Amino acid sequence: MIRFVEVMMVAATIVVAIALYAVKYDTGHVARNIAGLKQQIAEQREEIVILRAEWSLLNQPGRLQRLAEENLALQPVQAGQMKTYADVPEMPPAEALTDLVERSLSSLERVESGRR
Amino acid sequence: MRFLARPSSKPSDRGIRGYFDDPLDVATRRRLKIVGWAFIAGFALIAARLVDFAEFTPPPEAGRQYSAVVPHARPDLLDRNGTIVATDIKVASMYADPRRILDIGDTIDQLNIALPELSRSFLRERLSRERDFVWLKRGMTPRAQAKIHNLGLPGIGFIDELRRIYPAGRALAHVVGYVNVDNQGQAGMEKYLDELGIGARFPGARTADPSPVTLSVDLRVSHAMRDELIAAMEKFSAKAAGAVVLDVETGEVLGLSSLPDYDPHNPKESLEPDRINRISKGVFEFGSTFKAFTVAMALDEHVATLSTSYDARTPIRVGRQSIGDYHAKKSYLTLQEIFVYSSNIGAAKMALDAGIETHQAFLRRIGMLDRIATELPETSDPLIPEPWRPVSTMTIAFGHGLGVTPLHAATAAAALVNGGHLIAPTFLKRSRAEAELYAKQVISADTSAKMRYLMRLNVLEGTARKAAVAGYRVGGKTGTAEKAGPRGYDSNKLLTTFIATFPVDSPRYVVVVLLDEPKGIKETHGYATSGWNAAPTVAGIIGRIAPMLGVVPDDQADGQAADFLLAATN
Repeated sequence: MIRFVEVMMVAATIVVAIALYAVKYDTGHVARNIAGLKQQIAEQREEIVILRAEWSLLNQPGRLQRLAEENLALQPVQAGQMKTYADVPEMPPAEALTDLVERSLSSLERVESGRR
Repeated sequence: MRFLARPSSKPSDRGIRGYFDDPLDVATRRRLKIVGWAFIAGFALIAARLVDFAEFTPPPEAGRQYSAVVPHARPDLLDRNGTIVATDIKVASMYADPRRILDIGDTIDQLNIALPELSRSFLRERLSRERDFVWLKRGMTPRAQAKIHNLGLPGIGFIDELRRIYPAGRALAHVVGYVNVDNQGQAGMEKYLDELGIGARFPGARTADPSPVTLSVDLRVSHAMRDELIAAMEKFSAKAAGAVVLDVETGEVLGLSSLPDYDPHNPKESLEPDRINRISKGVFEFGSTFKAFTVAMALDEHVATLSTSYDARTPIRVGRQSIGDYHAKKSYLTLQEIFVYSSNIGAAKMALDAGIETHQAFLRRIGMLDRIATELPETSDPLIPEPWRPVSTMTIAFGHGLGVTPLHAATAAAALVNGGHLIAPTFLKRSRAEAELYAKQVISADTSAKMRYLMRLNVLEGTARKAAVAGYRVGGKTGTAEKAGPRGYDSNKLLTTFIATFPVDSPRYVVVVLLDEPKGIKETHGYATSGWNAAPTVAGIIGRIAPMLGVVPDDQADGQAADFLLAATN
């Protein structure tokens, strides 16, 4: 009986020792993982800071104005170009609308056949 | 005590077994049992602890820093729309430990070749010091850092530092200010942050991201304003210029420009004397724009009404000098006409009618006699005549004799048009509700309506015609002041100003523009007065910023006479 218990004890010790070391190495792994991820997070955060700063720099109104003047043919908006909903003309009655659509389609056909 | 008894028979008689069947092993057995149980208890404890570990939740972060430098030591500054206008980025700074350098000459050569901006004499001076730490170059680009790093020089190392950068650049230079090399605010809102105590912290101080501070300025408005101002300064060959846009309902400064300005990345420029912030710190005699305040006083104190008549036929003699009108009408003028024709004589008589005390009290009420209390550290006390004689009252009526900053003028003008509430200007984003807490009623709503009427009339029929912008209902007052020189006022050196508000039927913004020594050009027929230079500059600014600020244009209002603005007051 006692021998059985002793053998069991020894076996238990070995098992527990293996389990302990396994857990220790596992947690070591996980801890290193965490450390690595944290380092990555910190680096990415710093990069975000730099990117945001660069974004603001590239979006400087002065720069955009210069680029627009050099590359686009846009002009400053005049007050008369801005209209409200009330300024939009009323929709024409149904017959006039179908007439309009038919005329647009026929002119389209003419353009298409002209191309061929 | 039985375990201490001696055995009675020899164990060897019973063979190997005998050793285990020994009667003594009752005692031994008991000892063994105790030790056995002790071991079992020990293992049980370990097993229990293992179970404990299995359910264990890791403790919260013990706070190990993974970067050598805190990413944000100073709060970011944002404009009112959330655009970054000041932030920190990490840069490498190169240092040397002269004691560890093996061959000074070779090190100097290699550093100088890699980075020519480090002169040999500079390096020799630095590396010959008897210290263990000297800065060689603070704030290097990553490329430069890599180049030096690859040289593999002993005794040369890098430390990460924070460097403040200003994406908005010159557009917000005076408002945002700048920091010194140790990230301490030296001017503008950066200095204000330090005064609040949320400025630079020591590297290594534990901080989370400090929340950014939102300013009241709108970067787009500031840029548009500055762009127009630069064009005007060039067109009229002015020595200097300034402009400010104020929200009349909240007192927020939406844009502030003072030219010449400086690059906040190069703060040494700001120390030159002509780079001061003329809007908040420059003190000027405004000339005719001040008539707006004189007229407001006369109306509010019930000294006069819009149609009260004054004799403006002849100049007023004061000692050896006289007060006369530019383009004199040489007739009786109503208060309305005094405003629209900008009559000095009329304004002087109006102020005299009110009396020195009343005039002074009114000016104090609208903040013209005290320094403005605002976040920006660059402010000035007004220049008040000492002693204040009746002649001072007369001259101050048309803007000479009292020196104030354009910010004073803008703040008081806002009170004139917004129903009479004086609100201290702010450079931090502020809501209407908060502004109401700071507001002080200084003139009646009725007077304010009349001022709006007069300012609109001025643009429709008076000297301010060139400030008109189609659709945006601009109202305003011109001001042309002769600059004081060593031998009295110099008629060739003018300071032109313009105070505008839009949309005048329900004002939202006040714009003040100042030009220092503008010249007459062909287009202005040689005239250098405010109506020819400051007024069109204001028109240019309003035309650009009104759509950004969400002011809806109204074509119909352009042809409307100013009278409708008076309708509400009756």
